Amino acid sequence: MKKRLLAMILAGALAVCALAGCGSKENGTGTDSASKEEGSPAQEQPAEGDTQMEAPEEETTTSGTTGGGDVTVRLAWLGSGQDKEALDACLQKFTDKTGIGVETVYIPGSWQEYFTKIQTMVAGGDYIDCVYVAIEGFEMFIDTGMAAPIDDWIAAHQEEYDAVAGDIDQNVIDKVTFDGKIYAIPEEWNNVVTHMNTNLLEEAGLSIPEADWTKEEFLEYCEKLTKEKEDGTKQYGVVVPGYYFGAEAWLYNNGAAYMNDDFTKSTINSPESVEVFQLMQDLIYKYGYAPVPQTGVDEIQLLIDGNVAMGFWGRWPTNNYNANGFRDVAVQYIPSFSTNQPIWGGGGIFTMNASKNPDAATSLACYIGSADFIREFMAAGAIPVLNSVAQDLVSELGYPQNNQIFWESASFAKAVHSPIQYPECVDIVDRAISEILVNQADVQSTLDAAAVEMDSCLMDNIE
Amino acid sequence: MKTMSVKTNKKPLSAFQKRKKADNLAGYLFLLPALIAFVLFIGGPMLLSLALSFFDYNLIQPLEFVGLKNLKRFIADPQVRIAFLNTLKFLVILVPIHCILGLLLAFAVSRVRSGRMRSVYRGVIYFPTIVTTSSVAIVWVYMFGTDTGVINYFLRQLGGSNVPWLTDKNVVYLTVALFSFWKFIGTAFLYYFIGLQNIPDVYYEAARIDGAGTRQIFLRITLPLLSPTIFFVVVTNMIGVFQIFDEPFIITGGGPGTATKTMSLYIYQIAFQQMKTGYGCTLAFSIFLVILMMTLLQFGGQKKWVTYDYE
Repeated sequence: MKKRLLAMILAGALAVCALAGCGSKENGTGTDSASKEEGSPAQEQPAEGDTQMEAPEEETTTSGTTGGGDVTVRLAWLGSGQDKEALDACLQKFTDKTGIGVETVYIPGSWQEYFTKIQTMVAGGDYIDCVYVAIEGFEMFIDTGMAAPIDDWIAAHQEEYDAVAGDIDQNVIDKVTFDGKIYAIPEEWNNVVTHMNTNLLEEAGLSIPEADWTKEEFLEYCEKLTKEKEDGTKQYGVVVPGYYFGAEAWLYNNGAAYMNDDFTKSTINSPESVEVFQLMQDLIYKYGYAPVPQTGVDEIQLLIDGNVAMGFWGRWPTNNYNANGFRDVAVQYIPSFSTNQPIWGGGGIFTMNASKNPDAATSLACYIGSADFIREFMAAGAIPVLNSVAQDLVSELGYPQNNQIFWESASFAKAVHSPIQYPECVDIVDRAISEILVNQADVQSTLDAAAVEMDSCLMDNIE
Repeated sequence: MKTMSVKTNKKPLSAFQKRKKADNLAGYLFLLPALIAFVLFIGGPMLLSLALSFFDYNLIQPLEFVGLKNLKRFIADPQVRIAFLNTLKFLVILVPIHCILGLLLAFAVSRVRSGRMRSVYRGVIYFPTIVTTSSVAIVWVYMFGTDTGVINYFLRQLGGSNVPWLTDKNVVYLTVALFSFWKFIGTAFLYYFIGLQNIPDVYYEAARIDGAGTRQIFLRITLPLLSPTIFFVVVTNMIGVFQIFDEPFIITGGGPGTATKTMSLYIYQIAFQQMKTGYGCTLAFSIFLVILMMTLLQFGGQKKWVTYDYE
């Protein structure tokens, strides 16, 4: 009888434990109010289950500053928090000036994973006041109602806003304006340019090409820069931009794009587009100038290590160059396949609709977009949207050679196509690129199929 | 009056019946925690998933009832066919690898005479299973690099040429199979090893006295008596491979092209990258139904070949 009683008590305890596991997350360490007040870093532990269905979860790190007042703003930031000391130091100045504390929530992963995490946080009632958002998320944040317009704040703080926005190209401001309402303070942007390992150029007897270099000149460079190395490995002339942003940069320079500018019809299978994708495929298989794109291979590292002579990225590889102490690099515009139309993509700080302190959040956004913040925080990486600061910071870094091309195209660069169906479009484009560049699929038929699929996605945009 | 007669006809419970009733109650109480956990974490979400498949939902905006729209999309979606086909390819490759090679490894290790060496082999084979898949998969991706990978480096040193481990739509299956064998064979191996320990020695002794060789012992004694374990390993492996996610997600990204895009990977893309939770649930429910059908078929077929009676 005693045994049975003990068994029943144990069973009851098990049931209680099982139910306790479903408790509210209010007191989770990551958002713990105590840790927020202390401004100490806190972590949410990732679920490390080994079940195959489980999507990989990553850690969310928090850090912050403590103000004298009651208001603390929660800011979402992409990354694992490796730069949190530098960011905290910059944000502390904002806190000192305004008395508003800032809790920064670092979310690691790709942009898509970052957006997903924010969506789930919002859906789960874990509020965020303001969010750093890249261009691919602009439409989604506004369409879902997660972002709030900041026109009222601008009207009340016109001088503060003008000090920032007055130094930004209208081209960039337009991208955060929807239906006449401004939704964000832009902070940084990137174009896509050709990065060149100058040691390899020198070995091949080549100099940095002219800004309007042609496809023929580009192929000549590729040929001269491709060779068999002494250890039996191959030095490739170029690595093709097999990613959405980079591939569209090539398309723009041939008068093509993934879709039309109002995002209602795909143009990925236009003759100009087919020509570009065919060139990419030929660079790998016909000429042998480029390696087959491969998951997990760091192409920027290939350039640093001298395994590839040219690649196509924005200014973000300067972080990798810094980390590797690599300085032998120059940049030039993408070859003019038929025209020279630089691309851009950027990011800014959005104030969330669910913000508990929208005014404080937008003030923080404006501070992050200001020269004071950018000068201190952004030595390398993306290009600041403030023209005066961009010119100073880019040249102050001292490399890559010819680095003025990073900022001089801000006024005439064309934004990468980023409709609300961006995740679907990226998936379609990535698959098409992989089929063409890895599986050697027929370019025209692959792009035709991609166009049909993309059209069905974009159909919702037709009014 | 009728009620009265029922009451009067009711016999008091005997001591045995009382005890049986109390035992039953205790049994149900023991089951209760598992039942609650099942309803909360498996049964409930499954029903919710079925219900969500009739809605459009992106976590932020309100649910929108769309009827059979997601089902129609499911039927017309070419990516579903690709993902199902790829999952079946993995099933055909990985289930035999795990089930057959795991058995052979377990049999070989069980025949090692030295107890210490048996422990060493057991540890070496099982060790990869306890390592987090994502961390080791990243290392394997570097090893499989075409131009910069260590495997191709050694192949070149031996006079061979680069193998496109991750950039050929056929070779990539071999790559995933190699990784999967290294990473997950330990689980099947362990089940088989334990199963082998449970087979009474008297059968082997009797067989040896009768002059049976190793092959005969394996075929006539080991296999039949191990059939419940084999059945368990086959069923769990099949379910696991139907849900295969880590390997294609980390090693191949579903590529090249769509060569290794599996159903689980597609569900992840739709539900967590594109935030189409409703359609994601439709896909998830479809794979659940397929797994259920296959498992029921296996349970039906097991009567013909699984032996539970040792005596």
